[in-house]
Amino acid sequence: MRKILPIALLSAFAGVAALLALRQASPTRESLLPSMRVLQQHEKQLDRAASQVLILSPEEERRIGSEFDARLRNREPAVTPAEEAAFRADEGLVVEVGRPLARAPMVRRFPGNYSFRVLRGRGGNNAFAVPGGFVYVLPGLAAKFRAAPAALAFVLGHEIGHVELGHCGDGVRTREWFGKVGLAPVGDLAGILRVLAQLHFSEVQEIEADEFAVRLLRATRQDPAAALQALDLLELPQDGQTRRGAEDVAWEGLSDYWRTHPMGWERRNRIQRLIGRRAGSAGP
Amino acid sequence: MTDPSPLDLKRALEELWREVSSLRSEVESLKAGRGLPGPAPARTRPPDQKPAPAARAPAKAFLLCPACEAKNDPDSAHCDQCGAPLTKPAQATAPAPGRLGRLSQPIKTEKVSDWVKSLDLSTEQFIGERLLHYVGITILAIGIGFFLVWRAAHTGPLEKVFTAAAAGAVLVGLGEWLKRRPPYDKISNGIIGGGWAILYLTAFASHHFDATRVVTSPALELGLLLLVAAGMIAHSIMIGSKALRLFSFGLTYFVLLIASEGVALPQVFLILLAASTLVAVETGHADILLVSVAGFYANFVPVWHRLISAPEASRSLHHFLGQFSWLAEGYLLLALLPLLPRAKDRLLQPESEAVLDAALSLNTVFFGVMGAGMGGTYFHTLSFKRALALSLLFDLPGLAYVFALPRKLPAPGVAGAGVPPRPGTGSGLTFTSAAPVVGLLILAGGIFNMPSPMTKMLVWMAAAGVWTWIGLLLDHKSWRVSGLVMAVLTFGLYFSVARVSHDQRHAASAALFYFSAASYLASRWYRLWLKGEVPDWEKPAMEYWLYVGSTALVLGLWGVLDPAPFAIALIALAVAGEHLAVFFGRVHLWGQASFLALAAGAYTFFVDFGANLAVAGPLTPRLLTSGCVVAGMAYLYYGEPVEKEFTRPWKAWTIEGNRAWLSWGMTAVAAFAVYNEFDPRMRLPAWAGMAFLLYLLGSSREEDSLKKQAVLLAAATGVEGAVSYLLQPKALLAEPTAANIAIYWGSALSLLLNLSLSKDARRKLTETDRQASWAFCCLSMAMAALYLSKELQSYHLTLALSFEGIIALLFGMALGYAELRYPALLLLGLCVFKAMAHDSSMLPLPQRVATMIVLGVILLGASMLYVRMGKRDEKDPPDRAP
Repeated sequence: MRKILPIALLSAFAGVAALLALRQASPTRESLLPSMRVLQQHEKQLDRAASQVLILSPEEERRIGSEFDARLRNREPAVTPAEEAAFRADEGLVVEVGRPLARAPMVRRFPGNYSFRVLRGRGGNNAFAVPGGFVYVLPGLAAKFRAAPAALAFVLGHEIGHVELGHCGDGVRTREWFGKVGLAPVGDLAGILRVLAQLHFSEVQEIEADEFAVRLLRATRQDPAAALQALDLLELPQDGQTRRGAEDVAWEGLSDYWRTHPMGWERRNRIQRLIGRRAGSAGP
Repeated sequence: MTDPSPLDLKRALEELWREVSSLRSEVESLKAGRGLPGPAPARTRPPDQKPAPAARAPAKAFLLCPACEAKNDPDSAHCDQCGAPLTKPAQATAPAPGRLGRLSQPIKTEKVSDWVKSLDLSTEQFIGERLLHYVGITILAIGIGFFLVWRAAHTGPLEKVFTAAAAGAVLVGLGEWLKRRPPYDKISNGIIGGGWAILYLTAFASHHFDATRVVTSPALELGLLLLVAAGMIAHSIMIGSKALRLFSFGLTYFVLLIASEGVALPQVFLILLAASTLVAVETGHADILLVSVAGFYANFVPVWHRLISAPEASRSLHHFLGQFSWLAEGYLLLALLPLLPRAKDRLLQPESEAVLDAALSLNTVFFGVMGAGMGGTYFHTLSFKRALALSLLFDLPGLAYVFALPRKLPAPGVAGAGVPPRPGTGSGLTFTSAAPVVGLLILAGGIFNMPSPMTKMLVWMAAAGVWTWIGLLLDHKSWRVSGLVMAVLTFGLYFSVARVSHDQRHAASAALFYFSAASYLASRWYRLWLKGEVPDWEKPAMEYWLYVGSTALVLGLWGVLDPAPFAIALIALAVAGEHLAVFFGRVHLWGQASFLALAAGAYTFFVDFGANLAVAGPLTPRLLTSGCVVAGMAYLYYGEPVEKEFTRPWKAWTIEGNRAWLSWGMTAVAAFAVYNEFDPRMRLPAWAGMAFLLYLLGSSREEDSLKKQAVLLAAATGVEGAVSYLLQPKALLAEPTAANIAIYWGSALSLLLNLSLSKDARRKLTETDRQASWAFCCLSMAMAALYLSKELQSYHLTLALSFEGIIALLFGMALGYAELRYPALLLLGLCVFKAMAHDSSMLPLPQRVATMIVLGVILLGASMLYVRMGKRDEKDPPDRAP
């Protein structure tokens, strides 16, 4: 037995290694991020724990969001009638895609009470949400996703996720709470410190929002593979170089603090893991 | 009356001087006598005054020779110089004893010249005999220079050249004349050198300066320069002055360095070097070679410059070799010199071999730098073929040295075999070591520029192997050392190649496997190939090769495998390594294997498994990889393939320490894999199950380390449940399917089974067992409470938690387990707090009433149970301590 066991063990190792090498199911790479994400996840959870103490009710969050929304509307420049018509068409699509998402059962904080707008006069391919269920799509992104409503649904689901998972509310919670007890300057300072801390775990929030969006697509009976299409349309870099030197690995880990979003490799892989298939393969 | 002769006057003057001196002495004696009627009192002297020196012997008087005026001993009858008879005037006029007798005492000259004796005579001699003539010759040269400048405006070129040459010749002649006139012979060499310098520079100026140009033909100028140089060198050798010799050669090379292109031809340098070498051999003066090497290569700098300035269109191998061959011939002339018997006999002697060694070492280094530099700049790269050709120019002489030069010369006064080599002889000479090192360096440069990564790596390793083998076969240290260093540098080359592209990394990695195999072979046989006594630095060579082989193998695997298979390969190497270590009896292999096992575990923390899609059923790459690593570590931990006694020689760490790290490592790897593989809900039962198993293993093997891990993991599970599971939005948790729920609750309840072990009175329980009892009870209740908290809301949650608390309390009382009762009471306390602080204010009245009534009944029931248990204990004290 003492002779057979090591041979059997080594054979099993060889078999598993061969299986992993030959199947090439999912490329792997060396990275500091898996370990760092564990830490970041717990940092984020501690931040979330504040929501159990510094409670921000949906109504309060809605009020704060409305103020944001009013300010954003006031800053919108005047546009020509032709542009306005295009904006309205895009906005119609966004609302049409977003409304079913907002009514899904898993949307509990502001069920059916989300506002979707195309923000005029802003450049860039982006979308964002503010507390209270206000989701904004920039014109560039709206134009890019005109022909891909399923991918647009992923983007909107991602932003809904930020609101539903409390990421947006957590951003204003501290300042709001201190303001209520008459310590607004302390709240401002705490808000700045929180932003600095959030830089370290904002990637985890983005990953969670992606996951929420995929589940939301499933819940509304849409193909979750549209998430990968959305990443393609957003032209997120693949950064999938798996064979890297130690300096690349170290740089990726160290520079992660300054990134607000995970890099393309990580987002794609996590979405693939959620939808259970590789990009480009046929759906179940 | 005739005038007195000078001799008479001199004698009279001497007489008079003696008389005066005697009178002075008399006066002083009288003064002393009056003041000293009795015994002379001891004189006190100032503290800073030195004691008087001991009385010196009176200075000897001398007799002047009437013929040649030479000073002679007073007792001599004849002159020492010319042999003429001497008269003794002092004796002829000897005064009578007494006053006159004291006057006739010899002159005490030391009193007069005391100030002179106080001077440093060596400094004075230096100033007088050396410095003055150097300063003088310098001033003279400056004067001549000013004279030439002044004359330059008034005379023609021929006159200038003639004047300068005449001045030089006069100085040479003057130096020769002074050489026969001691003590002026000491300054003669400087005058001769100055004279020859003027002559040589005059010859140079006769062609190169407009104001003094009388020679228009470069060939004639070259002949003139060589003629003067030959005369200067010949004269210096005839004189036998080392300084003048080195100056002559140095000046010759320097003037050629600044000469025009038509004069400073490569051929001239070569001829000059050959002549210098010949002179050095014939005269046995190795120092000539030192100057010649420096001069030869310095003079080639302008040649190099001209060569690389050539237009691209005219560049060709033929053109390059046209210039390079002169350099190579010069190098070979010197490099092969010690192989010639006559040169070896004359120059390889103890008094000159250090200088010869320095000259030949410089020759090797200079030629290496210039040869590789010329080729590299001319062709813009150092190709392998050219590097090989150039390297052979070093390697072949290097091999010849090993065979032809004495390898071991006995130390003076010692004979017989086995005597260590005398430093500076045979193989101890630096140039014999420099040749293979420089040759290998150049070859390495050529290999580095090869295009194919695979070939590059293989040739690199082959070169390292060849050098090492030559060193082994010929028992030559420098060949071996350079080969070994190059072998180590293979890893640096690997990284530079592997980072270029994916394909290059694969190719370089494949080459490393060959290197690894060769290194393992070398680790087996290297010591056997070593001849004679193994030097201290080389004694661990077998282990060195073992480490190189393992490093190459690991790096090669890293290069060809993805991270997941690579992690498995690492643990496989660790398992195989421990068995092979025992098989071959190599404790260093065990050290490597035991390190690799830990490294494999640590590596899994840095693998990003990407999408981590299942490859076989539910098994994902992360699960498979972590499973393999944990299995390998567990095998090493439990299988014990190595005896403790075997690892005793290993000093870096003990097998016990390694195994302890292994056990913690495999727990960490498994826990990390579970964390990443499962969502916050399902990772709790997985971790709880691991804790359960660890405690089970720890109890069966009676290992406290495993039990501690179990307790720690249980605590971490509880914390993780509170932080991640409780706070995580439900939308992101795994679906609560029947299977998931069964697993969750099964795991939570199974933790309680461990109480049968941790509280088993038949076993020897430790503090860790007590901690485990608490940890498992708390975790079991916490998992249940967390699940309920996640799935229920409002008063339902309060009621459910109260129910859980009372059940735990009942069991705790029934079994006598305080570990169940205390958490149950805590849970009930929390329920009370929740009911009072939250439910009573937030809930509608019916639910509020229901909550209060049910909770109150539960608490009353608990209280009754406690009262009942207390009475029972009074009648029948429990055997089991709470």
